[in-house]
Amino acid sequence: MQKEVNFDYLLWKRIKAGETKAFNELYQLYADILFSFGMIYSKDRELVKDCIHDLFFDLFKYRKNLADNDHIRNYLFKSLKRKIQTPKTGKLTLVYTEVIQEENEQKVAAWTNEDVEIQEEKIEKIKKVIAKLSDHQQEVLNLKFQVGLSYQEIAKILDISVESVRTLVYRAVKTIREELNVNSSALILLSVYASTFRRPKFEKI
Amino acid sequence: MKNNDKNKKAEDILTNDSLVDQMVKGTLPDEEISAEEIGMARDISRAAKPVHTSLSAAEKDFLGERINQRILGEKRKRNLIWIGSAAVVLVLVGLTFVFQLADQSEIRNYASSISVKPDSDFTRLLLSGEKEIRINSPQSRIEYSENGQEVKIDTQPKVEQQSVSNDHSFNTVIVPYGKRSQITLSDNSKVFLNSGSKLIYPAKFDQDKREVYLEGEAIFDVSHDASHPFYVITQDLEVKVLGTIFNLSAYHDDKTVNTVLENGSVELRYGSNSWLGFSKVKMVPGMLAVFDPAAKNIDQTKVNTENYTSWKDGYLVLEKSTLESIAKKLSRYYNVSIGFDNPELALETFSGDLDLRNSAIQVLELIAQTMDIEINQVGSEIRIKNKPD
Repeated sequence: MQKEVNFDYLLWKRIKAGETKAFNELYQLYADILFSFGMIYSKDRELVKDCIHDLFFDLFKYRKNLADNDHIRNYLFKSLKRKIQTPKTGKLTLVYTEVIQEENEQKVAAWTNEDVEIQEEKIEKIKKVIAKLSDHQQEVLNLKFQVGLSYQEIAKILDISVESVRTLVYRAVKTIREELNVNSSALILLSVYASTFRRPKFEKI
Repeated sequence: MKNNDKNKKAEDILTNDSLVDQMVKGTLPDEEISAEEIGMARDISRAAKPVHTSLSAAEKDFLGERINQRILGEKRKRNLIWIGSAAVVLVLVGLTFVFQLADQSEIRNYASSISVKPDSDFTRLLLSGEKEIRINSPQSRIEYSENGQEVKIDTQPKVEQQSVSNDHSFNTVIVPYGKRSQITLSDNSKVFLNSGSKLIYPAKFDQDKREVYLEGEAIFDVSHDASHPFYVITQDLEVKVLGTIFNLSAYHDDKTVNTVLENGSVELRYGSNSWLGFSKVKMVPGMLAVFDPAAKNIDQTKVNTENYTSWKDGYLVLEKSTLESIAKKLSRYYNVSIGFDNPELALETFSGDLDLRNSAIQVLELIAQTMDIEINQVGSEIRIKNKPD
């Protein structure tokens, strides 16, 4: 951890000096995690990409005003969130004939294995419960499991204490677990049904 | 800290960074935590991670390029001011210096900031203001209005772009392998851009000259305007044009830059060993000029120009072309990989017309009918081998 901070610090210094290569390094390092992070706050991939673009350009433009001791990760996450949540004025995204094909693949995979299918059903169920949680709880869950940040980092980004973050997650998970246990007997029945009645269909020669 | 609590629940696992780590790695001690709770914790963590929230490698590359362009653009603006005040001094220094500076032309600098990634699925059009348009059609048409502010793409409604009054706002078309594009520039010149190529041009041309940058292959049908000479710049060679049709092939993975002049007149300029640091050669119609950047020399021969320009109309005219060069053309055109089982086969030649509306396999089968070769699809690659006796 200490190493990472030092590395970031050196990179930061080079960025302040306006070294183009340093911007590229920073981008390579952070593009993936920033995108994943940004997708928590908008469903629009193009918007998130635009905001990452603006974030890096601002960094270049205002590099001289950057403070020395800023924590680089924290800075990037916070600025990106702010950018995504600031409504854009009059900027249109131009994307023609965009193809999205990924969606089907997972469904196909699920058909090949009944266990996987039951699993997917369960996850769909959890997703529905998550959707009913408070915005704050959802955000924290996403930060933790979509982006994979540590509790320390989430606390810094949200400007709340580590304990508050933990409490949010704790309550969210507890709610999910309890909601699911209520329905679990029904779920097991369903899966038995599925395995008994589907199998002959596939084995018919 | 010891966790001897057999009653650990999902929420206990998920609120502890080190337990989450262990869960991801699959090293949670199952004698301490029940399998049911581990499963629950894992399912919840998965459910909180929606699909489609990660950046694909292609998206990452492209976004990186956009940012890079933007930063370089900003730097360029600042440098220009500086060059302006230094120009007075430069005039005294002399001619060679001036050429070196011209060599650092703005469009060339800009070009070096965008790399062609021909493996994308789309033809991409980059407009000023960092706008990107992706075009799906295999043979797209892009037309600029006279003022460069309106762009018509295929049958889509017109797209507008601002800030074309700015002299330094370049537009870029990047065509991947397997696709082509026809671009009508603001001066009504037409460019047929072949697969795996990149063309950079200002939305509207400058007052004094017209300058575009090419990587890959294109046919230029340049509208005549003697007072505004048209320059095509490639990495190693510049072509000065005065109303004419010619084909220019400057792929990075080819050893030479080939120019074929159909009609009109062009002048080629390239870096050489002469005392000026560059040389000029005029071309007359019907000639092929092969420039070798390593040897820094140009060889001209008389050719049938149709052999070099027919791809724009969807067919290839071949006269004693080696299978190797045909394979290279087809693999770019169709975005397939073509290999030879026997390297000697690559040197065999073929003459005839090939209709590119057919698939790559069909085209190669046609060649195979007249030669002793066999075509096989092996996985994603097409292999050419000797016909068994």
